[in-house]
Amino acid sequence: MDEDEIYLSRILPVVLNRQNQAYLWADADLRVRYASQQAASILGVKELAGLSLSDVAPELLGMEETLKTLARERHLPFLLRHINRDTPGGKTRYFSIALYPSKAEQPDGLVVALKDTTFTSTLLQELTQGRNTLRLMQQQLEEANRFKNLTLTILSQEINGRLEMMLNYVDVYVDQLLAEEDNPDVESVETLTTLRKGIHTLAMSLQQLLSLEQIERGHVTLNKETCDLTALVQHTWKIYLELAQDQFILHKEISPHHAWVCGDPNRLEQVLYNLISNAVKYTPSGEHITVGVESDKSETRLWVENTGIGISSERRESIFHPRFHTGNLDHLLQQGSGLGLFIVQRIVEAHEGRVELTSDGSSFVRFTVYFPTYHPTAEC
Amino acid sequence: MARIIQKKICMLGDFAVGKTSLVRRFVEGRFDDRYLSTIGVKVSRRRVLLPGGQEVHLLIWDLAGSEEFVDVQQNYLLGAAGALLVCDLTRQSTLESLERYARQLDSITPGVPLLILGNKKDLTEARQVSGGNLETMAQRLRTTWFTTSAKTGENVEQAFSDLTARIFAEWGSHHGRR
Repeated sequence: MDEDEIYLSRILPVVLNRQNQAYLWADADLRVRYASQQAASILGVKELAGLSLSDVAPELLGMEETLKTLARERHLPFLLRHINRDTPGGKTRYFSIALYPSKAEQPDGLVVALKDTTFTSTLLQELTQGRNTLRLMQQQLEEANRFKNLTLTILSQEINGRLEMMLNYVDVYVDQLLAEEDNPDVESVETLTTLRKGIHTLAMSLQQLLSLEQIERGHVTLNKETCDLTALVQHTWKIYLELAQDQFILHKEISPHHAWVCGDPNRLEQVLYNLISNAVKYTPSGEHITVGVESDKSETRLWVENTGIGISSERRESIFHPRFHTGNLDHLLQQGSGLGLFIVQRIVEAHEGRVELTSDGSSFVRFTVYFPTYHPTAEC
Repeated sequence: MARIIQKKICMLGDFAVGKTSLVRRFVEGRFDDRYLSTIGVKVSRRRVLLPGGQEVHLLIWDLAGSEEFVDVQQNYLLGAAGALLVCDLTRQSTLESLERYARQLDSITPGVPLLILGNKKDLTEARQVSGGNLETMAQRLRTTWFTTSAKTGENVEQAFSDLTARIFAEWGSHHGRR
């Protein structure tokens, strides 16, 4: 018997048994030469000696070349974790296999250490199960949300198209009435003008819904062009304020000069609509509401301010956050969704602008929107 | 006595696409509706006969699909003779992941045959992945695809048979050259 044989048949078993662990020793041909009782128990095979490693552990099948290289060239250990085996009781036993090359003075071969990891692996399995179930639920919710947004977009566009058609009919009818030079029906024209403003406001509310959907997707779509904010405010501010003109004292501080910005006119109108709606909603009757625009070479400012109420410094941080109040429908119908300022901020940011809130905390609030001023001849 | 040929097949795909159910259907001929996440690997064995009567043992490696185990998978892919890349027909994102699994497989065992399986065919109402989507992915990975249902068993045998045939065609061509 040579030295290697003495080592394998007499010394190694004593060394391994002393560890009281599940060990195999396989030679350079990956044939098991020695196995501890614990190893046989984990692998569920009574007599391991003489079998090939992939016979006793099919999890090693296909890795033979890698393992032979490991045994011969004595690389770093090779580890397989969370191996699953069914037990006769229908449960799963987990174990790991670590393969170490022999030490330098020992013959070529592999020490195979087996470790029953059923306790920790079962915990890991339960954790993974819980995490995956949550991930599946999250995916389902995202899918449901995507479907909701799609439905919302289609419906909003459909309704918007019909509102535009109604506006056209109203315009045609008003033109016809005004064309009757001898006896124009002024009362009907006034009624139709009020109706027109109502339809326009409704269209703007729909625009809000579409904006929310886009904001949720993280992308506000802009159809940019060079816009004169002065003209836009001049043209539209009364649409939103006229219905409230008996209730408040209205002012406009609109610069006589152009205020050029690169933006989406519909979105900019939406900003104005939201700021004015916000002022109308919270300003006490008899107080002042002011709309203003001014511009210099670098910045264009649009502001809406009101008196009679203020915003405390504690609330200023959260005023632009979406808030759904208490979830009470009556409250929602009276006070709105609380999303207006949130939408304003997102639209303004999409235009590379910013919104500032100024208030004394008790009797004055001003929202100022800043946009970069644009040269009208530059490409937008 | 001639040694029985053993071939290693790896099941790859995102979590909850039905890899374990497909293996259970193929090996045990049954289906269980409960979802049980796999961690690590479970090796199952099934004996099949090749057209010439040769007996072959397929060792099927059901690998964990959760991303936490991606690193663990590397060692398990060694020596694979073929792979089934499984996606869930009701979750589009699971199809997109297949390219990553194919790359991972190719880095460990280049050129082994693989097939794409679109599983959960029985859930027709919730289906998101079309035959066109599968075909596009199959062309990208230079292979073909099956739609399967581990629940009804539809196409499960065919998919494994097709992969086995590809493995032996590849194997035969290598042996023929020697």
